[in-house]
Parts: sequence; structure tokens; C-alpha cells
Amino acid sequence: MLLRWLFFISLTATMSAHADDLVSTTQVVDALAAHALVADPFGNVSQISQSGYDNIAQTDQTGSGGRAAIGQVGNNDYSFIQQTSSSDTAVNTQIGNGLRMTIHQTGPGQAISIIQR
Amino acid sequence: MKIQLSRKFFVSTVSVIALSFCLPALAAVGPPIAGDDSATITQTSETGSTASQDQPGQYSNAAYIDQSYGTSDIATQQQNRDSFSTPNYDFSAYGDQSITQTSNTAAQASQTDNSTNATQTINQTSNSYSTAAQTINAPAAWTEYNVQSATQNGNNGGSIAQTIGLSNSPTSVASNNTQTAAQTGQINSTITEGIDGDNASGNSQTATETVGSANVINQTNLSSGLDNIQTASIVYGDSNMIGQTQTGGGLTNTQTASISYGNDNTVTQNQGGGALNSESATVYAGSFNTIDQYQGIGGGNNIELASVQYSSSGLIVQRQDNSSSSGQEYASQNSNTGANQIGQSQGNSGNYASVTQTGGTGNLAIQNQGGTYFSAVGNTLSPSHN
Repeated sequence: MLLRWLFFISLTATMSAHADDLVSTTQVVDALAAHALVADPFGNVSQISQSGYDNIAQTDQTGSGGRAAIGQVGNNDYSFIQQTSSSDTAVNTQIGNGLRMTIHQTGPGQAISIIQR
Repeated sequence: MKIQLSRKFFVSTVSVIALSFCLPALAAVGPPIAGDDSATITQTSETGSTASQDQPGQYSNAAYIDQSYGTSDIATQQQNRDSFSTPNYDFSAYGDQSITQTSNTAAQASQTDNSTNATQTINQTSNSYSTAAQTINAPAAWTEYNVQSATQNGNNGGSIAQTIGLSNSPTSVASNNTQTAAQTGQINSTITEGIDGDNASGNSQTATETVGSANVINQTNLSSGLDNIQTASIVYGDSNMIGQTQTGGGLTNTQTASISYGNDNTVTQNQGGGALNSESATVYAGSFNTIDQYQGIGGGNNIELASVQYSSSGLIVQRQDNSSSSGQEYASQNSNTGANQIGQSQGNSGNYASVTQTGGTGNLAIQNQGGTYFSAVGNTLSPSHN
């Protein structure tokens, strides 16, 4: 658990995707939101989509079953997702240069999916 | 002749019998009912003149005042407003009150009624610092289907105040009334629209500012009814404010505000808890505009919508009380420039929040679900509370 916490609290992910895998942030975000709404009607759902430069996106969720999605297209963007309950899901997609991403999860049964390219 | 006398006697007898049946009913209703009266006053090129009309009849009275090219003229109209002590009598229906004041600096227009299906109209043109006040009280039930309409054009420092349902009885119903106010080409002016009543539903409030600056629109509905609508718009204006309030919670109430081609304007929308209520605000082609939306305690299935297009440096704040559930918040800032900001806050159960920002540089979006505050990132979005 400690290892997991340390991993996510300081996570600055750099995952390169294949060019054929390119999808728009809007598609990613919408797909997640639609799925989450069906999957867990009692959990919260949040999504942020940004294009431009030097943008900041932050999501905080304290209830269980939360779904958070952030998609950013541009340079020097920063995203932060914090989920402090359980059974939460975070999806974060960033496309550009000089990107920063932090995801902080502290409960059981949580999942993360990220793309940076 | 004998036959004719017999017929007359027969008719008279029938009339007396019919009247004897009617009298108890009339006694139960009250004094004899008057109505269908009409009064017109016209004053031209006067200073400090006063025109006053008082019509106590109950049905279909009409009053008209026209004051032109004067200064500080006063126009006052009342229908059936003598007393609240006998509410069965102090009530009218289908009245028509109209005041027109033109080129009349500091003119005052006032209309008062206790009514249903009444119409109040005030038009003021090329005046300065003029006031228009329209009031329909609700001393008894059925304060319904009244229409208040007021316009001001080129009237700097002017004010329009429309009120329905104040001074209401505990059982009054102030429903299906309409308030419409418009100001054009004015600065430092106000529009105030208020609806009260123990049970007020189906009311409509509309206010418009066109080509003006530093004006204030304030719309209030204090009831806990349903299907009430508030609509406000600003077109080509700077530094204006729109405030919309529906405090009673209620059901399926709607607030809508729009700003087009204006800068430094502020929209504030506030609804009580309730359910299936909605707040919607849009900005098109403006800079430094603010949208602030709040839905209160214990709400369910409420929705907040905010959209900004072709603008710069805008701020959107959406809050649904931490005790609410199944709410939705949508905020978008598209095709914008500058640094735009969005803050969203919701409770902990089944809520949905969405942010879209395109264009601009240094945009900020913060979403709290289950928290009680916005956590500012960096030094941009101001802290708030839920």
C-alpha cells in the first residue's frame, strides 16, 4: 500500500503510445463518462477537456465509485486527480510537450489509466 | 286593458320573486359591485404635476395617464386598493392600467392593484432619473394571470420595480403571472422583479438590458412552487449585473441568463434545493465576464449549465450544495483567448461534472466532488465555499 501510494503521489507518467493508437481527448473522456454513468449510478463522474497551452486541470473526489477523466491537448499542461475513497477510476490523457500529470489515489480497488504522447 | 294589467302584474310578481332569491346571495358577497369604468388623464408641458386615478370597482376598469414634455410629473393609479380588512371586497379582476411618460425628467409612475387577470403597463421614453413601480398584492387567493410590463428608453438612472404577491395572505396563490421589463440605451439603471405568495407556480419574469452600462437586473421568486421561469439578457453592454434568485426549492424551476457583446458583466444565479431545477447562463463575445451558479441544500437532479464562446478571461463558478445528489454541472469555454477559469463543486452521490475549455492560454479547471471548497491551484481561481 505504501509503495502504491508513493508511486501515485509523485507520478509523472511518460507513456508513449503508438501512432496508430491516437484518439482525441474528447473521445477518451466521453467514452469514460458514458461507461461510468452506466457502471455506477451512485458514484460521481467528472470530466475535463482542455486545449490550448499552459492549462491546469484538477479533480478531487472523496466518495466511492468515482470516475474522473482529464484530457488535455497542448503544451505545458498540468493535470491533477485525487481520489480518496474506494473503487475509483482515473483516466488521464495528455498530448503535447512539457506535460505534467499527478494522480493520487488512497483507497482500495482503484484503477488508473494514462496516456501521454 | 284588463289583460295587459294582468300581464304587468304577472311580470312584476316574477321580478319580485326573483329578486327575493338574489338578495341573500348579494348580501353574502358584499357591497354592490361596480366596474367597467374608464378614466383618461393627459398632461402636456407641465412641471411637478400630479395625475391620480383611483377606481374601486371590481371588474374591467381601465385607467390611462399620458404625461409628455414635463418635469417631475407624478402619475398614480390604484384599483380596488382601499383596505385589506375586508379582503372579499378588496379585490378586482380584468383591470387595465397604463401610464406613458415622454421627455419628462424625474417622472414617477406608480400602479397598484389587488387583482387577477389584470394588466399594468408603463412606458417611459427620453426621461432621466425616472421611476416605474408596478405592484399587485395578493390579499386573497387567485392572484393569477396578471401581466406587468414596463419599458424605459434613454432614461439614465431610471428604475423599474415590479412586484406580485407581496402583502399576501397565508393561503394566497400567486400563479401564472407575467413580468416583463426592458431598458434600452441607459446607464446606472435598475430592473427589479419580485414574486411572492404562499404557493406561486407558472410565473414568468423577463428582463432585458440593451446597449447600456452599469445597469442591474434583479429577479426574485420567494415561493416554493414549480415551473417558475426567470429570464434575463444583456446585449451590447458593459459592467452590468444580473441576479436571479429562486429560494423556495420547488420543482422544475428555470433560470436563464445571457450576455452578448459585453464586457465585465456578472451573472449570479441562486436556487434553493428542490428537484429538477435548472440554471443556465451563456456569454458570447465578451471579456472578463463572470458566471456564478449555486443550487442549495438537499437538492436532487438539478442541473447547472454555463457556456462561454469567443470570449476572453472569463470565470465560471458552479456549486451544488454538498448535501445534494444526482446533480449535473456543465461548463464550457470555447474558442476563447486569455486565461479562463472554471470551478465546480458537488456533493458525494451520483453527481456528474463536465468541463470543456478550448483556446486560451493558462486556463484553469477545478472540480470538487464531495469536498466543501475549491482548492485553488497556483494563484488564479479564487477560493469559494459550498
